[in-house]
Amino acid sequence: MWRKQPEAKPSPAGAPGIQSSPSYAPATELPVRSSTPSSGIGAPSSSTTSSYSPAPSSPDGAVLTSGIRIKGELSGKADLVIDGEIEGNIRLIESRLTIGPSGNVKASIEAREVTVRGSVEGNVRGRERITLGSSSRVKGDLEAPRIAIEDGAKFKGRVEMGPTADAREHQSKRNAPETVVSAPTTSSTLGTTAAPGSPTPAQTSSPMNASTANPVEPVGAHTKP
Amino acid sequence: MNWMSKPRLGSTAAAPLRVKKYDSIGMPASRNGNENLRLSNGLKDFLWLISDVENGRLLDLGPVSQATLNFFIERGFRVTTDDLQRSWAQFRAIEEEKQRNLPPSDFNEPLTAEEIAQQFLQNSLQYADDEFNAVLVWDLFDHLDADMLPRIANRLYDIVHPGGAVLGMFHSKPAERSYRYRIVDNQTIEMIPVGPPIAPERAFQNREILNLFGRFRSAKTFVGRDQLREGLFIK
Repeated sequence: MWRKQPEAKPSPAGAPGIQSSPSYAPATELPVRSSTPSSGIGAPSSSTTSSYSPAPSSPDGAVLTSGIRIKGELSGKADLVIDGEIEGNIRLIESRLTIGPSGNVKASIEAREVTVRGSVEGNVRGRERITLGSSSRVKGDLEAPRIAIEDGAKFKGRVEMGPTADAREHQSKRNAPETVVSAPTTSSTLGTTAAPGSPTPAQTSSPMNASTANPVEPVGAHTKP
Repeated sequence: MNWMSKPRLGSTAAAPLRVKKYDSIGMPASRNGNENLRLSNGLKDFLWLISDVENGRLLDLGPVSQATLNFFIERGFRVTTDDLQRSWAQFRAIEEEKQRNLPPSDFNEPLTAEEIAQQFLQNSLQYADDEFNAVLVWDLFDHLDADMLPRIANRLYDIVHPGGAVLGMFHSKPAERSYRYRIVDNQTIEMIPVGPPIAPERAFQNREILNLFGRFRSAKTFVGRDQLREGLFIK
């Protein structure tokens, strides 16, 4: 709602470093090399692609096509689509990472936005959000301010929603020069941040009284610990 | 003056659409045309028991559900999801494949069901003792081998914090379909029919359930007209 929508751009054909075809997983795309310089991987990133797109294509990012396998550390500033295999660490803290349906990643992942449609084994941290598509298979912990999980996603691990540790650090750094006396604090416990307007912890009345009128068969009795 | 003609502000008559009507306990509550909704007294008790837990930890042993995640995260819980039924199905398939591929030999005896269960649990439910304040089991026990049941129940007892609660569903008659469960509100569960990954193995009697969770300090079951029994167990 608050983020800028992608703007209609002229055809990228001919632009240096930008693939001409917006189609997904182009056969001519060069594979991404591990330990790439921070100046970018494959192609320059664009700030206009920050919003989430359900389509896995990333016309102005890099694409790791299926059949390519990388072991090591992968970092950069460009958006990245992975349809190959990666083992190691992925760190794209300013970019969007999409793991396509045939992508297979065994790595700890940190990115601005992470969208998974393939297989991931490892912890995933999203500075803004994590999306698990219906075809995703994820084994590891998720940590992001916002997490979206589509029906059918296979997930095993812990979910922590709330600002990530890095995001909190960034926030405090950003606020430090402006707030001399007391910097605004954020929740110190991940996963415990209630959404705005969310209800307080369940204030249900004792069901012991309510259940007596219902056609149920209570066996035993509970006392609240 | 006719006092009844003008409903007072804030009265239920002023907002008739907000009145929830359920058919009966344990039966699908036809709300907004959704026949999959089920009023759950077990859930209501479960939430009441954990309502004053601060920074609690919840383990969901069913398929991951965004709605259920949000429901508990908004209430301050850290949520861990572990789809044990799916893990078991995968493990069993791998083991069966291994058994098929064993070369014929006197030394290669197939594993017994008990040994398979033991192996599965060596890599499953590996959480610290007393780690969770609440566990959602759903209808997991309907789909596991008999050898697994007491082991899983014992393991659950170990990983639940003293005073913590476990909520499970048990079919009193063989279920016609498999379901995914998601929490809608404080006393409503949505049962979403799905294709059965493993056909339900059994239908539970009340005594079997209580025996299975005998180590727990307290047990309470609710059965609805749809023959789905809810069990609530407190360590």
